[in-house]
Amino acid sequence: MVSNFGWPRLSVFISCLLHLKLRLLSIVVVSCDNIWFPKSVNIRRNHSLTWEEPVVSRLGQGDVAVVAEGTIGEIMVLLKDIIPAAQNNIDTKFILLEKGKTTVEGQNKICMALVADETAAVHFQFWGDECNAFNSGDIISLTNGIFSYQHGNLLLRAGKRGNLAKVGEFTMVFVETPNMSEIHWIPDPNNSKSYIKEYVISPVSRIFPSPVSDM
Amino acid sequence: MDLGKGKGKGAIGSRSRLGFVWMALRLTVAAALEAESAIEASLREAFESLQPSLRPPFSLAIPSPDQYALLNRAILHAVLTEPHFAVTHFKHLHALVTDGYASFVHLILNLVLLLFPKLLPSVKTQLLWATHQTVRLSAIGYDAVLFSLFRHISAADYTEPNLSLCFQLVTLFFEQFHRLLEDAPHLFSFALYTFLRVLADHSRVTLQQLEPLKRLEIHLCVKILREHFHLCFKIGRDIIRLLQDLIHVPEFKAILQDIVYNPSAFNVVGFKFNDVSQIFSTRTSSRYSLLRISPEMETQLRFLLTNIKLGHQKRHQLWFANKFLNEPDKEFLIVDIVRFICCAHHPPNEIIQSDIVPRWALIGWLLTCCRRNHAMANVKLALFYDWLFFDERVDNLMNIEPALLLMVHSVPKYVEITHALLEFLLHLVDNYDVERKTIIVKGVSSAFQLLVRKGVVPSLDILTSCSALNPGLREGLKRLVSGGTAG
Repeated sequence: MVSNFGWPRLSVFISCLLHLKLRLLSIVVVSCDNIWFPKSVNIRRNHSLTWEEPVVSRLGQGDVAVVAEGTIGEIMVLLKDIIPAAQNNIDTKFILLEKGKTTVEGQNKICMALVADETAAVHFQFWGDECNAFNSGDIISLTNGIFSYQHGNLLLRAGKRGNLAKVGEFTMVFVETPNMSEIHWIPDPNNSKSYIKEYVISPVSRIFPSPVSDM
Repeated sequence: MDLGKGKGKGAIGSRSRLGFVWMALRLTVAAALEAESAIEASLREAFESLQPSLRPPFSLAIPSPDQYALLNRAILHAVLTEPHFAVTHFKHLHALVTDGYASFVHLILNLVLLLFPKLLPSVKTQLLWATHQTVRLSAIGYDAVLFSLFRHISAADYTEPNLSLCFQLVTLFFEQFHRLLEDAPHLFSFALYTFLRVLADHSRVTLQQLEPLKRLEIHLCVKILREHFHLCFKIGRDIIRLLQDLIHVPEFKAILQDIVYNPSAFNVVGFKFNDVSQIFSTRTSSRYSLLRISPEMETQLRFLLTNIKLGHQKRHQLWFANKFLNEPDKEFLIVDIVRFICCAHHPPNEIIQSDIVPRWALIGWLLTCCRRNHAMANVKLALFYDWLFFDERVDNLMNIEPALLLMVHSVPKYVEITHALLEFLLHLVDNYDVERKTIIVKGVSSAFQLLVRKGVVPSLDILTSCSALNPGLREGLKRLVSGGTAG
């Protein structure tokens, strides 16, 4: 499967276990193109590593490789696991499916969008220059993002403390159900700072309907 | 690659502090909020770390393997960003080199494969200059760089950067003709294939500024065909398909007539050409279909056909179309995409048996993107081309599979597609080459028979007994399939 892609544009998706003593990351190649992580691993380190050809051709599913710490990105959360919170604590990666119209709110432009990863979709709000910086099909990495209510809509956004960067295009699998913005959340009775899912308002986005493939 | 995350803010902060230096060192046109690519970062970091040692007097110490790799990256970055010192940087490289320039060329190759469309114009100019130097030096691996540069020549693209790339590569072939002939004769078939294909587009439009380039391209192709036919011959049947598209250009009309009626005109010492059927019976290697698809397009097509589930491909198809088929003339690219899907993308059985978008579905969608009749006809020809001279001893079942599956799967909901394809195939059998009709009937019928025998479809009943299809077509199909057995 590796050879199908040609190196080194190939993204090797990996799950990682942190070896604190060695300060090394040992990585298990789970799959080269179709990401799936076992439930027991609840952190995801997902990163496009650029390997030299000999390394890529030697790596296969289930292999364990060791790379020095620091060459791998942050712990990223999957969209299905995001929970509304008043904190800028979400690091994730998604593909931009569709942008709505850019509107002006006070001094600033805002733009609603639908983004998704391989586990869920969510409504995203671009702000200011971000509105024009991305196009549908772009793969975007978000650092220190926030998932919270804005005028009654549940939205993911970078906020003042977060960052967005385009890291690729096209080559990402996504689903449009569930949509995390179309879930009704209630305060967690066991933890006043957190929310739990009460019910699904709509399985897919009501703002951006999914296109139907004819073939 | 550091995605610039984690230290997100910090990284961007430090970049803006060094804003001026950093901007000057860029190789690519960076969009706002776009992360720097790994390869660009590795070249830049090498350059930054070794910058003081890139000016004479150069160190005489023998570098360690790691230092050698780092120096190669630093020097390439310097060649690309400091045009006025490029000659000096090359001298530095000459003094260091211990691997026949293989590492240096490998870095150029990666840049061409991964970043070429995004490179700054000045960096592109330098990259082509450096490539030219590596050809002069007979550096190890330069043929792969030229192959990849050919892939960036886009069909149906009349913009300045694309025409300039055509011009530079044609010129390089003229200037280095004898060296290339000696070192890498296989490159001539790639050059010929590329320029014949773009000439079909370049002769379709009348643009004053295109004329000089068109003349050069014709001159190069004619020179290769007339003087080195033994190199072109092994391209196989697709070369005839390309030449037929250029029948209105007098030089190519004459060549095609000689191929058919006067084959001995191409004989040279040690090579005897008897008949065009020698070419028709040679399957074209998938490398030629790959040659007409840019690396980025290849990645996206393979991703779609490996990861996306049937019924969920709409958004990816739209993005692909917005990027690659976004102008009316781009429909002429679909021919190349269909050839690529049939000949160069052969999924393994696990994918074929899964719910991933099959090749026929993608081709069905591409057919709906064709607006003009002659573009559509060329796409259908591309789809059926390997059927006409099919011989299971040399041909690949996977090349002919998509056409049959598209006809069969279109019956329930899109019978007009089945109809149009079957009609076109029968028309091809009767008219493609009247003098070789027996061979074609045999090719097409053995293609059908093999597809049934290998279980691609259980039988042809779905077509021969489909009441929605014109009875004449069904009869024609039955006759064709049985005619092959009798013949």
